Amino acid sequence: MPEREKLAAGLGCAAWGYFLLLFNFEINGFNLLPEFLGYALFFWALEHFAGTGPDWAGLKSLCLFLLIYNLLNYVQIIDALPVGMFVIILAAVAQIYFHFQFLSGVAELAASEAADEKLVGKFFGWRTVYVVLMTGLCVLLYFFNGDFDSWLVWPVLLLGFAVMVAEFWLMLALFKLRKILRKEAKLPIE
Amino acid sequence: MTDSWGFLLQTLTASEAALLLLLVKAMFRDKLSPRWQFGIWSILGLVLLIPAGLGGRYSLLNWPLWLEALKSQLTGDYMSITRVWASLPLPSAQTAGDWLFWLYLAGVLFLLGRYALAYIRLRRALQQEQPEELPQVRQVAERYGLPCCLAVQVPGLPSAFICGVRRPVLVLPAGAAVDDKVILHELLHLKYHDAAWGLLICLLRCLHWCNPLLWYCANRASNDLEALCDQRALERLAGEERRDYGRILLEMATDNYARVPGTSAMANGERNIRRRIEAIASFKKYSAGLKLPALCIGLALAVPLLFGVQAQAMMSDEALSFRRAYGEWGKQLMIANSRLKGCGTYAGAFDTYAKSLLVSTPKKYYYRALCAPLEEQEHWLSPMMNAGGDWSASEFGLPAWPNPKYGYLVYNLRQQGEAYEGLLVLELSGALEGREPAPYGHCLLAVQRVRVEQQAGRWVALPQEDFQVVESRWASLMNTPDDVLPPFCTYAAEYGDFRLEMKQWYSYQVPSWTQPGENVYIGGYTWGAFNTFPQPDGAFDKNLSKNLYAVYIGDEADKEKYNYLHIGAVSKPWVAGAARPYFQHYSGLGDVSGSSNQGECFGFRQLGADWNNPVFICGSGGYGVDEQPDRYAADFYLNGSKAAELELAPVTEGGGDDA
Repeated sequence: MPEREKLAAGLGCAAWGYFLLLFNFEINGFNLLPEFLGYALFFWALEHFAGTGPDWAGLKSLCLFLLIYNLLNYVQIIDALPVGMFVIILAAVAQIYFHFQFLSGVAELAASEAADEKLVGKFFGWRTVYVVLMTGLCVLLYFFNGDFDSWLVWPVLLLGFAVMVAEFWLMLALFKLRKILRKEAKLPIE
Repeated sequence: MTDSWGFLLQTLTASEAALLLLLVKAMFRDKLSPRWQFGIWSILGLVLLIPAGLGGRYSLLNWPLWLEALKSQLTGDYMSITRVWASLPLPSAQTAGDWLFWLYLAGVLFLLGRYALAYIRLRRALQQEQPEELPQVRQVAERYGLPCCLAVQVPGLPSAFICGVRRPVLVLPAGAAVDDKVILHELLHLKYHDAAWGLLICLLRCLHWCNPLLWYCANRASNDLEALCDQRALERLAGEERRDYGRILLEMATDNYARVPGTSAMANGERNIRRRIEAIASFKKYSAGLKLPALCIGLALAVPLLFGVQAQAMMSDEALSFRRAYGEWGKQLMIANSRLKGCGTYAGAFDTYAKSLLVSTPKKYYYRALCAPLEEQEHWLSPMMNAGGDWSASEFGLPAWPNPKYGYLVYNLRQQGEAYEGLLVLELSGALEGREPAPYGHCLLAVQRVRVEQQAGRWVALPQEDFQVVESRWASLMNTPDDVLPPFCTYAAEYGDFRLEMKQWYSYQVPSWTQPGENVYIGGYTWGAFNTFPQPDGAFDKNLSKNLYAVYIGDEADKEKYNYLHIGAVSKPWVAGAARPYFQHYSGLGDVSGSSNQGECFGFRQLGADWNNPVFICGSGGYGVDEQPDRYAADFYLNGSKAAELELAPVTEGGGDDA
């Protein structure tokens, strides 16, 4: 049986990863909750999940790419690149696949380790919703281009909010799964 | 594509899409199924079929800009804009002298001919044998639920293939036993019309024969098609049969009949066979759940590549400075940008023209080029490359530099067919040679009639005359210069020695007032700072100003009998078919005027000993108002009593003194 403590730690990393994707806290234009740190946490979660399924290893390269992309975005290098659009699209498709497979893997973990059917269903459901919303937002953002006078601002805001809601529920579900695994491993809750 | 530049634009646009797809395919090589790996090529196919730069937009890299600059640099042509109306080569009158295009066209025809000839030869070779229904083929088709077709056995062939798109036949090597798995593979090609896909790949390869990247992608697409067929076959086989399949493939390696369009013998070369063996060895069934991310990824790729998500933008001030430093090439890029960007609306053309006059830095030439006809591009941008900026107001037809603080206004805008004409009004600053400066409380205005029309898909501003200088009795441009500009329309009625006239002016400006910055206070209002950065796609805000006058039309000798008279009027728009508007009775009012939200305008004046003619009664107006009523109703007052109820009817438009 896989070490539940390791899995729980990995789930904690993933949950905090979604927290960092969800929230921004800026002081003087400096974001204290950068997204690249979220992907660093996802990478750490993958390390914890290693050996529990065949698909985790395949996600590491994508996770690393997204970490680097978000880091470059954080220091505002992407927009200055003449091939910036190439990189943005590559990151968009990597993101879609990464989160779909990551959450599918977590759902399978929940099925095998936690035996909570409702939670498993939630993971699969929110995974699908999240990926569809992310794709829709990505497509809209191509045309939006930061033009707040455009009619697109409302659907972009709406979809953006919906993505945040999905991330929030995923974060909560991950924390819940972590709690279940810790309880089953009879670990004290911090 | 009607010339070599059009072809270049099309093939470069497709190349960037191809490069992106290759990167994405590498990213998901072992993650998404062979179905996705082949299916994603459809995006490239569509990019090749859609004319590049449609709607003036581009997808990833700004090829239209670089190509235009290169074209101007090499040919000196500033008059045309490369546009692709069709993705197929279509010679036109412009192609006559374009030898490169004829060379390209010759290559297309040569390749098409070569492939056609190969296919015809193959078909002739097959016609020597009689197609028949083979029991083995029928059995395999029935076992795996696949469509069947006639087969023909040809001696000397190393492998089987499907030949034909409309009436396909299965071609088998004669005199040798053919494994069921080979027939399964070919019937799968038949079921999924792979010969047709191969034909399409071949046609697109011919159209872009001189692009090595697209040639490579065509090969990759063919290989992916074969890999997909292998995947489909392996999904129907099990255990030992899958291992057998790989062995049989090796035996089929051949370069004969390779790449003949309309057949499935597209990719049986040895190198590809090795790749296919590796794929077979690592065969896995892909979960049905992966369809969702595969679809989402396809959508995220297709939208930017097919729809062009980036539009030509004006160069920022930093980019303009940067381009100037690049010498001749930088100049070509600026000219190309101004040609391609242009003005998208008539209001934008007025705005850009006006602001080219208002700014006092070298970027005025760039602004002017944005709204200038194509034949004037080089004229306006060449001086921008001169160090030191030795420009003068007269170069732009101005008697002196205008004051950018108050911006500009366009008066009397009228549509003339597909074009628009209006009076551009700027406030001048500084002294004019040979003219006294305007007295305190007055200002000097520069007025010019400008016509804006579409040329080559761009709105251009065409000055119709030189600027005329007029002195307004108002302090700034932002007050209605009613004394010097003709009204847009006039309504009038006479009573006794007076004619009551309601004059209306419409002024237009693309909203350019911004906060913060240096604020401009005019008439008790804070206008913020006027932003001189053009808005070539802007829309006008419209302002209505209307003034009511009492004009003395009697004998000049009798004028003094009205000295010290109290004169006044109240007016309101009068809608056709409606009852006369109600006015309350005014009496005993001194020198006063005002207006209301209901459109009522009133004014009472105490005339003096030497009173001016006409007498200004009252004024009103507002932003966004579109009021041009059928008539006005007015109550006319003399010495505190209502003298008449008048109906002010429209005089011919634009009546009044010209500036």
